[in-house]
Amino acid sequence: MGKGGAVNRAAVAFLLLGVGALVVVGRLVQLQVVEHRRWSAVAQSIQEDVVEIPSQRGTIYDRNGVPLVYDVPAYDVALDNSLLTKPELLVDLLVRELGMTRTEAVGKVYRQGYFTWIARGVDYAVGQRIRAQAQGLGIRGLLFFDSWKRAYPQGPLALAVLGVVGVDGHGLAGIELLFDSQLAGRPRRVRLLRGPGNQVYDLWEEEPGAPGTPLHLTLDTRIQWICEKEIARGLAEYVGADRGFALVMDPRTGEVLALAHGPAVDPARPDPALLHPWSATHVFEPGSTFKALIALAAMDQDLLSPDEFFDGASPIRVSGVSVSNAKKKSYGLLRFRWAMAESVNTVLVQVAQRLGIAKTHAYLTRMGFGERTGIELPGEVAGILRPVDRWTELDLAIASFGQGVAVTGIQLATAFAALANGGTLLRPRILPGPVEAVRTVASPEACATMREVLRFTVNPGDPYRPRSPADIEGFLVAGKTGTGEIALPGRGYVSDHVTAGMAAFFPWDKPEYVVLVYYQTTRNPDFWSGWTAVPSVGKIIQGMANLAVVRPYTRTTTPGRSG
Amino acid sequence: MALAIAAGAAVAGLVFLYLWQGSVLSQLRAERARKVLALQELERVKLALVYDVDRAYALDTVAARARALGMVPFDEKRTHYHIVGEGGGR
Repeated sequence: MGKGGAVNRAAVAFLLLGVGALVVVGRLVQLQVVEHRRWSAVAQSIQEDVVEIPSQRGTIYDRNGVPLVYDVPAYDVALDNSLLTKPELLVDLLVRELGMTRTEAVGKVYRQGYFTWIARGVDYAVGQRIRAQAQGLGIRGLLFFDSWKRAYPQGPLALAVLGVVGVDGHGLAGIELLFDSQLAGRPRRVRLLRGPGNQVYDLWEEEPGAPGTPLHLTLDTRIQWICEKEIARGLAEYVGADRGFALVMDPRTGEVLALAHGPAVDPARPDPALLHPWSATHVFEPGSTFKALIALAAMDQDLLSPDEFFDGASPIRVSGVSVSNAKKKSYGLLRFRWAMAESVNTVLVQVAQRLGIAKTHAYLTRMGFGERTGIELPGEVAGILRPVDRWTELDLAIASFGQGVAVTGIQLATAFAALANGGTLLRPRILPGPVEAVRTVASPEACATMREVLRFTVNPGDPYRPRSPADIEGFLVAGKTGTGEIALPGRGYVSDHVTAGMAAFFPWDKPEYVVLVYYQTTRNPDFWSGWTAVPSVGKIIQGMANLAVVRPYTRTTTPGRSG
Repeated sequence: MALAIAAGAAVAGLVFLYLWQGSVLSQLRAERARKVLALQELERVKLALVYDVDRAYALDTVAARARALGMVPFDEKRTHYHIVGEGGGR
């Protein structure tokens, strides 16, 4: 074989190698250049993983920065049924750790399907335990998703006001619903580069997300707690009490310091029927507490003075209808202040008649009845104040002692706050902000006179008269009670359906707090404010003093603290 | 020839250095990613612990503890006020 043959063979070999290299390069060009996008996407789908981390919802604080509700870490636990191993052990685990019944656990574990939610919002510690035990027992198929759940560090405090959040993280009631867009944040999106063993090789933040904006309320946790304890006690101890609320307001600013409703809501299993602040969403006839407002209107018109004499005889006839005092009691001549202390209906009818339909209606409208107050609570209703042209003399007479009109607790407290602050109706608020005066309802002089009458109503200074349980020594409490039967459709006023309440403020001469307490029963005809709401007002004031929210305004006769 | 070998060695060295540093960089990236995730988890643990602390200092819990210690905070019969000056208030 000559030199030329070797060269030829080498040339062929190089040619073959060259062709082979060209094929390889061509294939590389095809995969990496022509089909780059397709194969890049395939690789990405295998190696990369986009994880969306739910945003932390905004915290809701009280006026002093005490958190009432915030997000804590939790897990949403699901099952990939196609990967499931050892289902019998998983059933035991779910029964043990999540408190499921065996039937419930079996139903979830043996369910036909690719994906099953086992539980959502599982406590962080519980989720960690389930994960560790599942790993130890060799149970496969469980999926853990990081999530958040609402937590209530103060328990169910103010839950009817705060509302709740659903499993999807959106507010369903109360403040949570009204300020949902503010409280909800933007989720964070992270891209992970994973290896074959699922280990993380790299991480990029695709969307930084943002936590929800926190919210500060005007509520004071301490006063709220006192009010909720008191309403719970009242519902437990007052025979037939079905529901109640207590409201404490600063009459100088319209800020609601406490808004407690009962029965209490269980945050773990919130009852939708209880998840509304009924002091704003439901109406009731206020009863005799309304007398203070009718009298204020008459005083503002110079038609009434506290020491004027009235005939307290009962019954009297108005438009052919007999109007009586409570328990049909008849009084002789008595001063107006005593008529308030004794809550004499027939005297207030005379006062309203002096004022007349047009002026009475106008004053009630100016006091905010028949319109929403604008408090930051969802579902607030306007109450019922029928148009003035449909009012009769009888309507006027019964309105003088709080019947024939339907109000919300918020409206009533706001009107009393106006009386307490010298005649300015303020928009009640649960979110802090500048004071918003709505209008003037009465002169400061008329308000001052009425405040003195209401102080007399609580404490007439009669040594033979038992002290009112609301008249806590040193706090100069003024106020008015009210008890009224509830009218039912088609049945009229029903004797065992009763609303009983008290509107109070203190100290009477320069009020700093308005306290409104109302209870309702549907079972007890002998349900009176003097035995229910009045002691509750006293206990709330006492509780505020015990927690040093407020100190006595005058010297007390009680000796120093003995513990 | 020697120059070609030296150039080849230099290129090979640079390539090796590039691959070595790239590998170290990948390891550091992976380490960083793991730390970021661990930090995130620690943040969640911290929030869970904050809740436990807040619950322990809730008014209900404190009141129950006070009662257990015999402090009886809301028994009116045993609670009296210090006398304050005229026109006291807050």
